[in-house]
Amino acid sequence: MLGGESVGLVPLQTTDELALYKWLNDPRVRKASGRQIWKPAYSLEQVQDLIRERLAQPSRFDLVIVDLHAERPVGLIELAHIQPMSDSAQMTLLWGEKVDDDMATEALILAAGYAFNSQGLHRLWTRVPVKEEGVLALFRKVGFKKEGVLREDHFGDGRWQDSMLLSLLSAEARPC
Amino acid sequence: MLSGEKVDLVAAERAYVLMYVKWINDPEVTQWLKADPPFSVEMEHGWVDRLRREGKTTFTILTKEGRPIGNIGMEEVVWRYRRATIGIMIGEKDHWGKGYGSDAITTLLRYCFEELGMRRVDLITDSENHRAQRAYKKCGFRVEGLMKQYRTKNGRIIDDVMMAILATDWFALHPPSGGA
Repeated sequence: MLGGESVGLVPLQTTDELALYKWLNDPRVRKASGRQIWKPAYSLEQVQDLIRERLAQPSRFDLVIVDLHAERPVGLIELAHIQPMSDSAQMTLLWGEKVDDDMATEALILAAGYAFNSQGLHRLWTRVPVKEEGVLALFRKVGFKKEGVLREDHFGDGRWQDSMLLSLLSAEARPC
Repeated sequence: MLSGEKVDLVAAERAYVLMYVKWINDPEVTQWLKADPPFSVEMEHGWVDRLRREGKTTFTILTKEGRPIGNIGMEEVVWRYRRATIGIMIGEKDHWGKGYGSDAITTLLRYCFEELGMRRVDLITDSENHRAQRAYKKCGFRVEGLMKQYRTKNGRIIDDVMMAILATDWFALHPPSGGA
């Protein structure tokens, strides 16, 4: 486990299926993740398929965020599209349980540290709907910088919506 | 999960298969449906597995107390034209005529128009199923035409009705709440 003061990160395992089943069936969780890839509802079998598929993909690494005091999983950090040529990866978040700002920040710093120091990556990037101000603030707090706006790149709440593209370079990362 | 006022829509799954078998083998329930019983437990397991494999968006309708009462789903989605065809079955007969089906349809339509950006959602129903047509109209569907001798069921030649609701109809009934 990658351990911090209040949170730890452990690799996603098949035994996380019930936590993911709960989170992915909560519309607020899916919406706050700002990602369009989630289905509107998941069966347990679909969650098991999803975990198996993720574990089989060499270009991604999923870390479960554990609240060390409550000893329970609270979210997921995804490192996807890991590109060895450019040493870059997409980082996305899924907050399954409500956590305070400090815990969320610590989890992101830990994950960035893991990506840069252990995986040897050089650049992390993320795409966040402009409407998700809390998620944007969190990424900015750990050092992600705005690269641009993807205009009307997804549909939600009855209209086309913009997303912001942000990135963090290894030299800019806050120490763990 | 999608949440309505009276129902929640959860993913169809193997855990509900015995309910599916009960509903789909009840002639009163399937009277107006394309499905022709009998269906076995194994056949319904196969149906759920097929949905999962093909990534179909099919939900089981739960009351707010968690009781499964039927299924609803997007039978066909054509992204190129932003068009979907839906179907619904309320299998628990004591829940007929109480607004559960309408709420399930409204919940699915909200998802189709407000989250997926569909331009059109349509369905086909038996021309003699007047109760269903009234319910669909209540949700905003309009009759587009009669499809004469479209299929047969139990030896009866059936005329089907094509009904549809457009995004413009939906947002006229449910104006966006604002925000950028």
